[in-house]
Amino acid sequence: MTPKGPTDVLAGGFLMAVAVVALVATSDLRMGTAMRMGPGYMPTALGWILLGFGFVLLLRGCLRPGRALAAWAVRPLLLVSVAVGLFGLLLERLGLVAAILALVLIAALGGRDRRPAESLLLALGLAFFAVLLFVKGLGLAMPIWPEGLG
Amino acid sequence: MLVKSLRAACLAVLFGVLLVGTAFAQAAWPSKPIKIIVPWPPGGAADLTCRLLQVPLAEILGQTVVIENKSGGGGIVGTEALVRSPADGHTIGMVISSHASNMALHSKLPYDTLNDTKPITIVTRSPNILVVHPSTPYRSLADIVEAAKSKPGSIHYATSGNGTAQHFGAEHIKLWARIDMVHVPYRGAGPALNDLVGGQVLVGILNIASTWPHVQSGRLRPIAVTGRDRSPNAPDVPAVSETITGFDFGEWFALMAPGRVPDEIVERLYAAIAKAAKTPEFQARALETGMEVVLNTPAAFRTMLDGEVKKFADLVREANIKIE
Amino acid sequence: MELFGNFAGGLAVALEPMNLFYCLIGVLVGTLVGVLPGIGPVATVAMLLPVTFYLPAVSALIMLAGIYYGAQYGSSTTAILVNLPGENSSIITCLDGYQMARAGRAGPALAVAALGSLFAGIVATFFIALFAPPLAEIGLMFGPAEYFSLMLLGLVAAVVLAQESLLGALAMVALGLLLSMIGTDIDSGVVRMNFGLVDLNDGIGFVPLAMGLFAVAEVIRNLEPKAPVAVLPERIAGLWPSREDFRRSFPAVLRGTAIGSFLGLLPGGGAMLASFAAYTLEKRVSGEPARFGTGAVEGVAAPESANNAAAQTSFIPLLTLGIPSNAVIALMAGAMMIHGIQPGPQVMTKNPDLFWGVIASMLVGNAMLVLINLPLIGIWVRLLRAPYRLFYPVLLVFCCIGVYSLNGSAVDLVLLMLFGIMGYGFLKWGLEAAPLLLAFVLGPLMEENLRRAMLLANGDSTTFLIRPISLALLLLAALLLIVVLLPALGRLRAAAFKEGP
Repeated sequence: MTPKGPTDVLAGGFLMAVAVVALVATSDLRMGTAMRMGPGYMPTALGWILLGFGFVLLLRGCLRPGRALAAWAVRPLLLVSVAVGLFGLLLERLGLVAAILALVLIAALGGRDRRPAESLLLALGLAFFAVLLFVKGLGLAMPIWPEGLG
Repeated sequence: MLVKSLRAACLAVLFGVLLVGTAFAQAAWPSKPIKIIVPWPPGGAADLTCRLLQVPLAEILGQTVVIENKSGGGGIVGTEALVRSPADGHTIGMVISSHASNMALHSKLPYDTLNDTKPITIVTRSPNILVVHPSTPYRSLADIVEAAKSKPGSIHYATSGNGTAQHFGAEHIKLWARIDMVHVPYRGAGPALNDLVGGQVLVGILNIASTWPHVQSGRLRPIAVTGRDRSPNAPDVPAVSETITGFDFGEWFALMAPGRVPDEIVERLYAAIAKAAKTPEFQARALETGMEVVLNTPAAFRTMLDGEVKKFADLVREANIKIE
Repeated sequence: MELFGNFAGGLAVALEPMNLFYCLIGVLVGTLVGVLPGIGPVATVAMLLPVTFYLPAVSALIMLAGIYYGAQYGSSTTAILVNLPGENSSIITCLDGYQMARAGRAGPALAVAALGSLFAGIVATFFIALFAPPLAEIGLMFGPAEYFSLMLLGLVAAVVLAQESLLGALAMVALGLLLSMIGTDIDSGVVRMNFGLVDLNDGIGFVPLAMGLFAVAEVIRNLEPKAPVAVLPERIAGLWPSREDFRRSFPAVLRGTAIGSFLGLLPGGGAMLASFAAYTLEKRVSGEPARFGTGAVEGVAAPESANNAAAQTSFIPLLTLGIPSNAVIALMAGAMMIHGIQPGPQVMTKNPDLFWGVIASMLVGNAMLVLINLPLIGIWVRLLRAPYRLFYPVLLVFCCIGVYSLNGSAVDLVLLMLFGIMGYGFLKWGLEAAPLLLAFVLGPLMEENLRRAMLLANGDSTTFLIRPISLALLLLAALLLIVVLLPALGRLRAAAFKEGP
């Protein structure tokens, strides 16, 4: 049987999965009593509530016509996410300049019309501007060059 | 074009306002900017102390001094960052009394408190104060103890958080008087004061700097200070230690280096910090904020730290304070 | 009258050339950090604290206050232009402001935000001048029970915000609350759901969450192959609001200012609560609630004036009681102490120049903000017309640096990435991020106060019903929920009817 509201099914499933993760992660926390609530009281309660909402959403998706499934644009999703994550990995190891170059160039690959030369120029300009504004100007503590070179 | 000149204007403003000190490299140490890791968010007393030191320290060392706030986990996150920094004396960190109590409270710390950090000096000390709402009949510590004895669990006390010197001080009083009081922790002194002044909670132990104005305006009644002695800012308020011998649960603000920094550099850091903290500006500001400038030597700080670690460990064991 | 004498004295202080200069620097720097994502006013004020040691106390506070409300202002700019709420008080502005920008009406949106803020700022300033001392007592009447009830009311209002499905909004509120529980439990000191990462011990930051769900998700959506080539239409329909815009905005600004002035008095999420309380109210009183979320100008005017009014009145607890109502104001309390002024009830009598000078400077600063920002609107709008392939990498770089600068933690960037993916998923599934974010901000306050209230009442939950203010708030929440739930089905039907053939 194909669900009538496939988006609701997916969303409900996602929320239920999050709820289960939360319930597992909080299972070893003390619940306490209503007067002295333990650290586990609210998260556990919320976990069950979220599980309930997720289930109702899923059920609604199965029974009632809803939104059609929208296509995910995998390419920009993947490249933009990777670019952002990589920035975090590179910044502390290779410095701000390298991290910005990686971020801009990879994110540019996710765009529609790709112009490598232009992106490279943009990346270099941004790196220069960012070093000037954030590190020199605002005095933020972050390495500019790879460790040992600066 | 306009955008560019606008950016330039903004930058100029920022440069003008923010650029602090110029860097001239001189000897092998300090050869680059000094970073102070503050394991607390900006604005707290720990952060304020470091920022007061920032400018004079930069002048003395001839290097820019950068402050990095790395808050979290009751100071553990920032101290872990300090421990992992290169041991070249260019990164130091601020710690407070929780540095000693964390060791007793947490079974698994990501570092070895006594070996992975090296004491430089306690910069300032600031007492906490036990206050009550004026609607209560309590006028002394004995009154509170008596009330708690006659009706166990009826007294709630506010502090600015779990595992603070304030919390430990109250636990010590409970243990000493064999009474039960319910701890109501807040997120810092501000919200706690709001409820104390508003009479939502009637007893509190908080830092003296934020609490004193309310005592002066009559919205809170002082009972006792929690330092070793009476506070020079409040000479009429008795110290808890006059009732409970040896009671000392003031807050202290100290600087530490990573464990493997050579002693010679630690001594030079100490000398520079002491000089910076002896500038009239720092002294005046510290006094105004209710701080006592300490500046003990690295060796003296080490001895004192050992004592604090033991004090907290004993208390955690005896009062059965738990952080699961 | 003494009051006017005082206020005139304050105005004289605020208009001294040096104070004007620092006020200008404050609002400039504030606007800049507000526009730059991530670098918030807290970090900026902290960085500037050492500089203020060398300034007279009045100038220092005027400058810091300028940064505070200037940043509020700047963050609305990015909320409207790129769907990026820099401060939690501008989450709501994203809803209709960004939709206006997408429809080529960024100019009117920015202008309405600016003028609404100015009006609210002026009214709130006089409000402070007239009623500061008695108003401060209102904050003191709110104990843990009252706060819990207020937060509950806030969450119900968050559900009212829902544009699409009520069920979805409820689920988002639950998810937002759950996310806010990550990190050290304030009450017991236990770390919850950190999944073994020490970096999560202090919880998830608001900025990576908001930035991921709103800005990064929006970038990904704009890069979809089928998205329109120009994200913003080539033709910009004028920079200035139309007469129709003014007609719609004016009552919204009035209501927003009133709500903001009141909610700013409460410590905690004052400005943010104010912005969405104002939005909720507008949506309720509007004849066409369906316009909200699609670029309704009232949806920008009301929350913007509310958050600015709240930003001003949130100084009252500091100046009259010495109790800072948020992190930036706590820093200003620090600055006052550094200058040997104990924040508290004595400030008004002992340092009248400082008290009235700072208040009067807010008037001056707000006027400056509008003077600076009205001409800037043209530039911002022109920036938007830059090709998107150049625009989004710049936006991403600023987001990433901003997020990193908050805690110096690479984990925050991983969170930004995850929330970006999640936000994109929500867009695809028709789930809304705004209720989630609101719940995320209210969650810790709500849990904290619930537990504290129960502790103080020795476990007696009737405490919420016995205390009159708390009871009133709960009744209001219940009423709102009924009002929302009952016509929900009817509204759906009506909407279908209207759009039907």
